[in-house]
Amino acid sequence: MAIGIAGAVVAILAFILRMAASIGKKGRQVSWDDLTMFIVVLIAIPPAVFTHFCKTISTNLWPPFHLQRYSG
Amino acid sequence: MVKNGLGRDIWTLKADQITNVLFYYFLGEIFYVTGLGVSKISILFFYLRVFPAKSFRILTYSVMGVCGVYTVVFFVVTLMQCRPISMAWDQWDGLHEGSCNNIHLQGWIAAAINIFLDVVVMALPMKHLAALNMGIKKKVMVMSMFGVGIFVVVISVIRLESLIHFSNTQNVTWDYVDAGLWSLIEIDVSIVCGCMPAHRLLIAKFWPKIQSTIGASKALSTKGSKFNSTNNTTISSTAPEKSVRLSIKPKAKDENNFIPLDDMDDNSDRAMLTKRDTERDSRGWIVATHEVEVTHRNASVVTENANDGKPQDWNKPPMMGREHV
Repeated sequence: MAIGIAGAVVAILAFILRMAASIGKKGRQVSWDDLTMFIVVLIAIPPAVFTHFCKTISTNLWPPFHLQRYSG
Repeated sequence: MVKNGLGRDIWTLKADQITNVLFYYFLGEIFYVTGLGVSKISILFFYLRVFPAKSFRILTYSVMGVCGVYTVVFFVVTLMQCRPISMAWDQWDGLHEGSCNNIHLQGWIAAAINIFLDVVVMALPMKHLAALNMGIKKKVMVMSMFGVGIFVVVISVIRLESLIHFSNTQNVTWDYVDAGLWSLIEIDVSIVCGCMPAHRLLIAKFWPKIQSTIGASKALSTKGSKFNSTNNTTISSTAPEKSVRLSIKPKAKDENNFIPLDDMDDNSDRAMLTKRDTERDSRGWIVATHEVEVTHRNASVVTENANDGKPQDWNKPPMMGREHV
């Protein structure tokens, strides 16, 4: 599960560095691609937190999700 | 987290804790579908900044539209996978009534379309990058920068394989977690890959020496010297000089949003393109901003045009310049 958190941290750092390239007069201008990527970063954070919440289900092979997935 | 059962044996969990876990899985699926769709749109917006050719922009907008439709459709389909929606996390106890779609089929279709769109987005600029008039080494570097999306494609394939494995195994919860983790990694890698072009600029800005070691730039101190040597312009070697760098911005209506990425030095991609402008194939879609170096020496002014080596006629409209990688 730590992979989920670590991945999100790396992604956030990558985005921060991206925006750092826009600092200063000679920096690249912020545009739509930055805004949409910011949305992606925001979207990427909750699932990483969820994996931490759901740690138990991965370490205990109990089938509630099995029931939930196969009954449809 | 403890409230939701983290660190406790699942047999000790209460029903509402299990429901909470399943609810988070459900939300995770929706975030995954939305995040990946928007990340592709972001990369396509980046293409619009770099490639100004109209036909390419139309193509990019078209792919963007497809990505948008994919995102909206699978957002809705994932959200409405069960009727009522709460069945997605309530169904496990068998006490609720309702129905769900074929989750596996839905997941495979979504993953397959996603992989196809990933490949399309990654391959979109390759033809035009290959047509650039630059050294093979530099061309490969530029194409590699645009090709890092291959990692996302690979992870998408691995995730799809784990989804298929998930449907054929008895160890369902474990395999679903595997697929969920690959989904997370896919989003994170797509963010990192999408940010890499900006990182290159950052590296060039703060560590020009490092940049020179990877062949992208070098010799800031020789700025302008190659213009002199290639344009056969007579310049006094004794007079003190004062240089002014000018950039001719695009004039067309839809080009106002083009952003001049930081010009690093005369060995940058832009300068390389500019220097080779006379040799440039007009089909190359990355066009450099034309730079004019005005050198003042005592009472005389020597103007060098990086484009053709001739003095610039300022009464004529400037040649159009575009952005570069």
